[in-house]
Amino acid sequence: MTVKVQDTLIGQPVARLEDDRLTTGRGRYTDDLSFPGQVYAAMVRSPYPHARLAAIATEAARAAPGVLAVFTGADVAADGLSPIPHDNFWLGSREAMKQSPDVYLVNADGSDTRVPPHHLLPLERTRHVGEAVAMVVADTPERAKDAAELVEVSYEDLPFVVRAIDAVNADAPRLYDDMDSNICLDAVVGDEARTQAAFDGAPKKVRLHTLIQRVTGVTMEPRAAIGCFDPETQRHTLYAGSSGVVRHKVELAKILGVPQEKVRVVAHDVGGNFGTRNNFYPELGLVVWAARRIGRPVRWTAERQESFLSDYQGRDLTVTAELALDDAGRFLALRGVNLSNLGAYYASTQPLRKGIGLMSNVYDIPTAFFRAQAVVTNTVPTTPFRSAGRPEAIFVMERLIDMAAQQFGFDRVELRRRNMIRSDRFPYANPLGLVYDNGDYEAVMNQALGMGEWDDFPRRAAEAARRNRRRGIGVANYVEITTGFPKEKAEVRIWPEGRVDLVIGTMSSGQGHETSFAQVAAQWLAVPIESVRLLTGDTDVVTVGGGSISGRSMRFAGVVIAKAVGQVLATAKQVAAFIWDVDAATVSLGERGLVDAKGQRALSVFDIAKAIRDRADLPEQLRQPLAGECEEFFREAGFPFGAQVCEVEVDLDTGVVAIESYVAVDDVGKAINPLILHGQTHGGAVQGIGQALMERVHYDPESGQMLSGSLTDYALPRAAAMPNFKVAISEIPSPTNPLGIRAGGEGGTTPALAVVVNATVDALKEFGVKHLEMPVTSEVIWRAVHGRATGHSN
Amino acid sequence: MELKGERLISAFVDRTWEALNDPEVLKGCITGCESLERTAEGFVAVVALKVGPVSARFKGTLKLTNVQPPTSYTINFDGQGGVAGFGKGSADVALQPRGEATLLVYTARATVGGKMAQIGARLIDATAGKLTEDFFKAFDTQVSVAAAPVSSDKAILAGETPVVFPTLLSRFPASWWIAGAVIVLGVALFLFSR
Repeated sequence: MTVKVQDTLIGQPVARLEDDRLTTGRGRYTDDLSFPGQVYAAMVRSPYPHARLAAIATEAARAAPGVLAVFTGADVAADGLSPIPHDNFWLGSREAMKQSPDVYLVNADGSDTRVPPHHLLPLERTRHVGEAVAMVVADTPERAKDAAELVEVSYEDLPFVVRAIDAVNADAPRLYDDMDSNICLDAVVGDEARTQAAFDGAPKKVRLHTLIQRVTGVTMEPRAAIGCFDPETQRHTLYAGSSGVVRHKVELAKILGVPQEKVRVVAHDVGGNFGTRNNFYPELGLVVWAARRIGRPVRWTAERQESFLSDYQGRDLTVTAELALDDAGRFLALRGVNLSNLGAYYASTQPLRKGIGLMSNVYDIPTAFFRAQAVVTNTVPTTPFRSAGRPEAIFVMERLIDMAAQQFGFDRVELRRRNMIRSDRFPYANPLGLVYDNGDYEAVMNQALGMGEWDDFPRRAAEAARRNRRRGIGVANYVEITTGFPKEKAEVRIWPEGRVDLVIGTMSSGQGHETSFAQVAAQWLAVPIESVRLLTGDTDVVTVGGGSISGRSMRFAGVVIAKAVGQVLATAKQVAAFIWDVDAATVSLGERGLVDAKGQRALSVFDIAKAIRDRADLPEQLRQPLAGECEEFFREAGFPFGAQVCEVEVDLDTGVVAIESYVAVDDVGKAINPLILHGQTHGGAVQGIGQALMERVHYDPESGQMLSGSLTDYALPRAAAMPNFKVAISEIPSPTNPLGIRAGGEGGTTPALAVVVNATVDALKEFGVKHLEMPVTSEVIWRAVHGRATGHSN
Repeated sequence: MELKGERLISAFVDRTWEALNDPEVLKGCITGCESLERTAEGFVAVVALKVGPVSARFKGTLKLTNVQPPTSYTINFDGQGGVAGFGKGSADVALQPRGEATLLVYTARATVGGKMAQIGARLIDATAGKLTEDFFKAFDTQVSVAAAPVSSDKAILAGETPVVFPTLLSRFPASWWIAGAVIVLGVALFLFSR
């Protein structure tokens, strides 16, 4: 599979091909589609955090104008629909999970993980504010909404619990009667005895208790779905954005109880995912099932408020962690408890799992021991969100280091340098079960410190102090693990008309795959980049694929595309050899296509395809369409790494913090398109800054109500408040795939929570501030400065 | 969450009590009160409110408990606002004579849920405060200009005015329930914004 050509496109900052279309209103999102006879669904959503559904009276709604049907959990159950198969189904059996490079979490007592059923509509109990309890279908969206207001639900409210720290108690209100607690998973990782001994003998210890708060994705395109059913073929079609159409097809077939060939899933443009669209939603199954029941296409599009109430949310991890050091500042041991808030249903523990393996970050810590718990609460389910679990892990370690430095008088950079894993220690087995492939952590930290002008900071701080402002600077290093669904397949087909079709099982939601994948394919086939067409969004075309999650896309796709292209070239060389009447071994790939030994004659792959179509004298075995395919199973993880430096300036009178400088250095192994990678870093950093300074999904513990239900109360970072990011890419090839790719989609977020809080705490050290809980709003800062500290009501 | 408050009504205790007994007075003080009916358990009232961008028509059920006539009681209120959400809670209300005036003291607890809670508890603050303020202002005005004669204690003792001690429900007229509901609802909205 050697496709060695000089890099004409790979590594070039090619402007994205899809942007013109996407920024001039010509994107094709699910809601843009239209079908003859289509009708509209509206959901009736529970206002209670936890309630028994005593009765649902639908007569008034059914009688309302334009209403075709009203469905409840009883209808779902009567039709024998299965619950939504979440991560535990898609990721495969226990055996499959054990083979994954990620840490595998099992209950310490040997019992099975508890996975309560998540039905499309609940039958007897509703378990979070905003859960859909009924669906109305009418001929206009307004009529559907009006009729939804006529559905009378008798709720008998039950005791509820919304915070993980409360739900984990034995006497907490119970969400599921058949479970003896709210704890679905309670695992341990690491060496307990050795870690205990290390802590017992350690002269210095530092402890952190923190909540990495819950956030929501606020994708620019709200969730939407259209369900269709063809009675002749008995085929169900779902139009919906996702992280990958194959996954949704498999899950939908399971819910409906039909063979997979009877299900088709289609997605065109997807306006933002970040993990919020990975898992299957009730509304997707409901519109398809309703379309079959009613005999017309059924569509649903979330309103923004509805998104706040029902989009799967991210993070919400409570951590208590301790770091033990010796007198010279060498890290001796690390231990703690990570408590994940699953929400009302167990959709995913990927964040918990990925985070726990990385608690020691890039530092050489001899021993560690962690407890990982996952509990259900009366809140929306949580799923992976931009760098699932890793920003949480990095936040804890980087905060502990800064706190240790402050408490014991070490220099923050030196403390890190002293404990970093040396570049001659790879492959490195960390104390929590992960094996890092390779890297040079000190080099990227030094690069970031240089770009952030760390050494000159005292001068800038003094200048700011003269204006009654306080400056702070922070650094954070990271390593992260990218795995993702291990199977991927590429199909490449060359058309005589001058087009290359590239079928792959990933799914872009803004990452620019139409460009970056075209770059690799075009370079390897020696064709213009505009001639490559990416096909990802239809399961009738894409049969195998794991979607775009966990930084897997280019890493896996690059490999299978390369091999599929290799097959195409092998065939093309044979055809060229026939046409030129030479030995196939003398044909090679040049800039414009295949060339003969002397470089005098050239044929593009399109010429070859034409020849196959037109020439009657070609031998039988060469008369196949010019195509190649490759399916692979990837067993190895990638380990991107990097560092960020952030400088802030705090206004003491208002508590407002301005980010003066933000540096990000990421090692991606091999950069396919630096422009796209920088964009990913910018976006990732902004999401991290948003969480650090302003975002929070707030469920009130007293009432169980969600108070941050709109953009009025959920603060999002805006471009005007962001600095000009200084980003750099490092390229130390990873040994885990032939292209050396690590992944670059999430490194912007992974250290961002830590670096912003580290910088802000640094700015306020003269006021005795040791730590600040996120979001570090201007109120939090103001209170810290003026000595009126108050905790967040989680 | 708890909220305590008090209001000085410029009327004697018995006059205040009478005015609280009068459904017409109270209906006039509550903006948006559309109807009031007796039921087996107590009363049902319908009050239309606009809280920020959310319009709500509340169907509320009211129950009186801990009744210590004629000075104090607890009102339990449970109101469904359909898609807008719900409000429920209770308020301890007491009347104390203050010379020529009456001090009305309340302690309330409440929960508000659904859309009203989700889309800006801070928007509820202004509405709830205004609701409570408007009610007492109007009530105060009505009470101090009320011309209806009041059965005096003397008349009762002389046996000229029949004293009826019927069932619990009819002893405490609809107006009390409405008043209590308004207090609880207004206070619930107000304190919920905290």
